[in-house]
Amino acid sequence: PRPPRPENNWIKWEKIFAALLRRSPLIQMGPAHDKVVVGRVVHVVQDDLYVDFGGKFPCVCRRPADGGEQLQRGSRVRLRLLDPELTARFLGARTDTTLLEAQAVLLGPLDGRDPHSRE
Amino acid sequence: MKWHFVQNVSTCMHCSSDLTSPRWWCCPPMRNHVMSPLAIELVVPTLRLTLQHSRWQYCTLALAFSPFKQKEEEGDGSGGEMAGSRLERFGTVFSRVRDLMRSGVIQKADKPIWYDVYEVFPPKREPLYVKQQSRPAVNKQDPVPEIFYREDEVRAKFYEQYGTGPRPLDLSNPNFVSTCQRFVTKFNELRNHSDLSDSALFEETGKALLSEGVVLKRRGAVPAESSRDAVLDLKLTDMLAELQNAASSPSTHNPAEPELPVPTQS
Repeated sequence: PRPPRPENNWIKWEKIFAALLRRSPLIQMGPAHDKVVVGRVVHVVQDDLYVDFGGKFPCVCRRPADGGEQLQRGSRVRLRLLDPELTARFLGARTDTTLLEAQAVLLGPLDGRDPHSRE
Repeated sequence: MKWHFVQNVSTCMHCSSDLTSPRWWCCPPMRNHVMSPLAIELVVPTLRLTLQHSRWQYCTLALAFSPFKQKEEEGDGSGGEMAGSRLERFGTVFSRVRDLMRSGVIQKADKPIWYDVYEVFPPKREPLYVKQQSRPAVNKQDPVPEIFYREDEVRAKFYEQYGTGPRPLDLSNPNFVSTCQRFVTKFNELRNHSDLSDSALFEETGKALLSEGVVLKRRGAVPAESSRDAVLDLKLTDMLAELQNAASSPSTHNPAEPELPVPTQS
């Protein structure tokens, strides 16, 4: 017998991958264009910040001029996600070429608000 | 393309020219060019010796000829066997060997066994290397279907109207419940309990969430423009109905009238 549809009440079928996927934040997000996400700076190279927001690839953002000095490794930032993976197909190629990074606009540091609180 | 090589061993550094001939004959200004057959034909008669030019990058190779091996295919691209390498996949095996023999690289004694046989009984299809031109199939059906859920309709409408919402998404947290997800669960609850249409339910859910403390801000001024176009359309159809009103009953265009709002302010 099939399990009941977990539409209204999210029964905790944690062991089933299909249920996990359906409840996952990735599916909740949908298309990644223009979505505001929270990221964490994982690597800093002078003016470039490598931010991991939980997607497949991290994104590289330039340090903002104002208030950028506080952003160090481990600081949480807000991003507007534009592309989860930068790919393009060149002329004569059979498959896409990927840059192995995402594209996002840095909106600023995450406010002091506790991200786990439900409003 | 013809490949010609110097017969004698006294070579200059740059190319395989004989040192007795003037240097500029064998080392022309063009460095990385392949000499076209035409150029070779022009240059060759002017040279005293039967000196021809091979490709520039091969000039530096020592052209002390080793006895040509039987199997030309096994050319490993090394220097001594420049002629035997399949680097460029020029022509067929037969044409390569034939040209090498004609130019004198391969001696008659070193002729491969299969040469005579091939000459008399060539294959149906000349074994030229043909590059595979496999374009990705444009009409191939994607065997992997898209993953869509029922709540995706609600999500799409939510994102279109409200954007991401007041709270940014945290993808790293597996148990994260976004504003959109709360909206969806509330929507489904209300749909089970009440019987309203989808658009009305949408508004209801917004109000319910507002009562819980979630403030949803509409994004963009898109709805205003679309309503303006709708008004223009209505006016035109209205006028058309009036023009055709001679015979038809007037009730057809009455429902349209109340919906015509005050002329929109830009």
